[in-house]
Amino acid sequence: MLTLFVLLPIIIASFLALLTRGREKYTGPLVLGGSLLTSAMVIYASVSSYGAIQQSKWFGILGYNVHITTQLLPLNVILAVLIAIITPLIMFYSMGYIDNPTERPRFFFEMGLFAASMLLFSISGNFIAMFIAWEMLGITSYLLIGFWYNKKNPPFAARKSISTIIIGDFAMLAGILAIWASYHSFSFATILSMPVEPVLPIAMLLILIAAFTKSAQFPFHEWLADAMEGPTPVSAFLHSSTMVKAGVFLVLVLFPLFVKAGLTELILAIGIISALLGASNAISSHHIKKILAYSTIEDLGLMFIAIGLHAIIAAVLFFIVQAFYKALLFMSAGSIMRANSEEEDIYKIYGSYKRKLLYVPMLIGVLSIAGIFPLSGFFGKAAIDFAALSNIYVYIILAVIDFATSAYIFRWLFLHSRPAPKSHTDNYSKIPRSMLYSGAITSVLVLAAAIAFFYISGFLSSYNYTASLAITISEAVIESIIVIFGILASYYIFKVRKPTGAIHTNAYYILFNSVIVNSAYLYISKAFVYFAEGINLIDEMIYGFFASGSNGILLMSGKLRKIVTGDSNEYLIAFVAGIVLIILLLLV
Amino acid sequence: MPIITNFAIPTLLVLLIVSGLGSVLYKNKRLSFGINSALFAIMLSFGLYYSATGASFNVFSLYHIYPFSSFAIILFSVSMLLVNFAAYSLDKSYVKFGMLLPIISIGAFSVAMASSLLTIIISIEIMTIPTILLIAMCGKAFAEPATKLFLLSAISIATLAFSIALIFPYDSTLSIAQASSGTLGSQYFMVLSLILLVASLGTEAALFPFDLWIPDVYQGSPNAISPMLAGINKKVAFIALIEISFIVFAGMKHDIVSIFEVLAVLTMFFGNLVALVQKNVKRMFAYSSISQAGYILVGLASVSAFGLEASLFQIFAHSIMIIGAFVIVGFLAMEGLNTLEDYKGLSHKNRFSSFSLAIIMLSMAGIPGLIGFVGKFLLFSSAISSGLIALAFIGIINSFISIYYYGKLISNIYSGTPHKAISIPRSVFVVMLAVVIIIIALGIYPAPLMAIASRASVSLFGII
Repeated sequence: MLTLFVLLPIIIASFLALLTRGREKYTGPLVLGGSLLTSAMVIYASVSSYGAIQQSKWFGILGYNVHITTQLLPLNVILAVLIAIITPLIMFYSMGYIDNPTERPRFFFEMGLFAASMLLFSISGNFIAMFIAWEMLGITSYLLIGFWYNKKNPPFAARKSISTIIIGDFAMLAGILAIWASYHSFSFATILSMPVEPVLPIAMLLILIAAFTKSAQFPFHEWLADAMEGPTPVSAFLHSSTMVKAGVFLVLVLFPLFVKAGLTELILAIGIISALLGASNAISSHHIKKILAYSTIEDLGLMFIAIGLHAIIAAVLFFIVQAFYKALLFMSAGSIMRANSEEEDIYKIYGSYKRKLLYVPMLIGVLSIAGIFPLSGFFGKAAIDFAALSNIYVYIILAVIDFATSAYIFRWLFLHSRPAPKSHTDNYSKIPRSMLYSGAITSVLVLAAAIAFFYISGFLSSYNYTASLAITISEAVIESIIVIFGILASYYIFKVRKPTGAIHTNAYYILFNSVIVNSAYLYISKAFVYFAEGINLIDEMIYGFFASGSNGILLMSGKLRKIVTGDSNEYLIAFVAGIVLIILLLLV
Repeated sequence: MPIITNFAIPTLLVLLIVSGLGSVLYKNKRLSFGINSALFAIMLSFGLYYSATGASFNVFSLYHIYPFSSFAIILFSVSMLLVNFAAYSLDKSYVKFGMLLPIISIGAFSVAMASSLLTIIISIEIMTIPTILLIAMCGKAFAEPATKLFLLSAISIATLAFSIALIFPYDSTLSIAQASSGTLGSQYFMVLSLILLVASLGTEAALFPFDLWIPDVYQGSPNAISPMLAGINKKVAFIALIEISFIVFAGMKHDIVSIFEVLAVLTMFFGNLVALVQKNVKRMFAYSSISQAGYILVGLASVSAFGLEASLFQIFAHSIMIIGAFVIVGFLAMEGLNTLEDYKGLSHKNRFSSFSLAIIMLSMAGIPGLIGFVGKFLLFSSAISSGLIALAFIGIINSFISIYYYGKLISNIYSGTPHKAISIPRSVFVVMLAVVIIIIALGIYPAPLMAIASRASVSLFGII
């Protein structure tokens, strides 16, 4: 079977979704059905054409053939199956979440295309297929973040995300062209097997920049927090298995090239900075979803740290487990916001313990992200920590991050599970069923994901990575102690002292540095504006030149029009004149 | 198998005549529409089959079927299908179309398969006279375009006959394939014959300066007929021009290049510059179709298999696009929308027709992802690969100019205030949907059409 065919059901379903206007109750089930069919096909393809690399010719001109290549190597299978599992869950969740019927066709259309482009990305085997998927991801995420385009904030958030991502797109295109110019191939397999060319470090640096923009790493990380303006299913999708994972996945697939280009130290450094920034903002943010968003930036930073330490297997393991618990936490956050009339400030949200079907799965997610044994998050983090044992500085930083993670995630839990004051009204009983059930199913997957630890090494054995996956008892104990301290600190500050709002100390401003980063963005863009105004002065002179030229063209066009008079005699004269003209031409 | 190949095409042509006569006798609109569509669809499937198998054989020493003519059969049957659908609801009484469309199509298909120069002359006549008749039958208001078309086509045929008469003494044969054998160099009479050929077929193919009548006739013709004039009659002239000038005048490559190069530049500039100031949308599209003829010439000017492939691709693409455009514009003209000003707020009146008109115009302007972009990309790269860099550059400048008037119309369509909705007849909807699907599908995945066009152009150069 051609692997590309797995995309068909979901693409067809999303286009059909546009036609369901007027019968909106069928939209959700239609796209859910399409995504389930796609998932089944992905799993079938992963078994039947495992390890296959397939080329399909797209077009060819003058001997240059451009192919769309797909591959199902172990890494591709992992991401594709991850998407295949999470997409139907998110679609199921969205069926309850999007309660305005007129929005449904558009929402499911965009979600379906988004899922399809991520799936294409996961199975792409050359830069052409990858770049198509990369651009489709950018466009569909822009549409989804700005989904509520007539509200105040979403258009700005969408614009911020697309302007950050476009930087990466250009870097990516430049990198691909640089690679093509010296390797004359787009295929990953070919490029990976060829000797190093001098252009490689620059090309890989450009591709790395692209990966950092998609995966929201410093200094391109702020768009991810702003992207919370989109609907919650989008956030859950964006942060778990799609979009932000694209950058990490690209680096994983091309890892040997990054090693050859000598960029792993850079990856490690950026990973550390991003993880620290993410953790500090997550501790201090007040926005129920932004806390989780900063936590994602931290998680992605951890993955890049693992890649920078050459601990690929640990990175892949964390890549898998993070997808499940982050999807679960976003689903829960969406349900809590729904029950508190879409309130976003976590200090104004109360009583999440009231609905057991919401609270218990959420607790599993929280324990997992904090890193409690034997939940999946524990294995993911411990594996990265173990890889860092060789470098004591990195290890200490990771310990700080682990402490912060357990502190902020329990702060998140403690704050929104406070008992409600009398003036506050909430309706936890009115959360749509599909939102709760999909969360519950995901929590089962979070529990099950711990198994990945035992099988991942065998699955990836064909790659011959030097660092193997291991966790020692002593290391596990240290890790657990750090986590418990984090929980205790959080318990003391947010449960015992019961703060009611922001604590504006100096430490707060250092931790909540997203304001600083955003104003830095503003200064950079202002600098560009000044630069552009300077260019504009020159441009106006050039424009004057062209304006007079085009006025001339319009004038000429008016004159030319007069040739056509509607008189047949003149047309015949023109006919004869034309013949004479060609004769003269050939004589000359 | 040989029986099928020998008799299938003549049988189909006879059936087309029978269908045409039958629609006069029975005057059943729906029945004759159905039979005509079915016959065109069968013709299309034969064309696809012949092209896929690379069939090459003679039929009664009258027709020669080889991949080039298979391409032309595909082109004409697809456009005929679209025109047939459009005519069904754009015209009050379909009967005259039911009678004359099959006969026009016989002319077009015969040009596609002609093996002798005489067949080409007669086939063009078979096609042109019913077209004039069709325009004239639509009422007294259409006497002017009918007369103009009559006059110009009479002169064009006379010139074509004269052109053929000039080369006949050289090798005493009318067969296209054999006539080429005697043409060894740029003899004086051969050059004159080539010029007359270009002038005569250039009249129908809308090459400057033989194209001045085009806007009048396209604009003045009934709404159901202008798509056919631009989508079929013009392309028939192109197919004949390619076949005669590339095979019969194969020895005069140098002259062909210089003639086509100059005509391409003039035609592109004329069409685009005049389209800039048009107020009437139908007339604007007439000029835009002139400029597209210039683009097609860019590929022909390189006289190479790749250039011809590019031109054939663009011929197909433009045929589809202009039929779609004229169908929508004609349908809107029936609703009283004629000028650029009238089109303001069209998106509020009818979403689908504004969307498809916008897609068609973006494709004509050459926006990536649509069929027009692939066509222009192939044309300009063929020009560059045969060293005509200046020509490619001029073509690209013209693409820029054309964005101005297409963009103006698109911005008019998507501006303005809400209006009362207009509903589209079903068969017009079918045409729009088919055109949009073809434009997008072949724009994203052009390989099938490129393969057919490439086989056609290779087979044509194989004959020489």
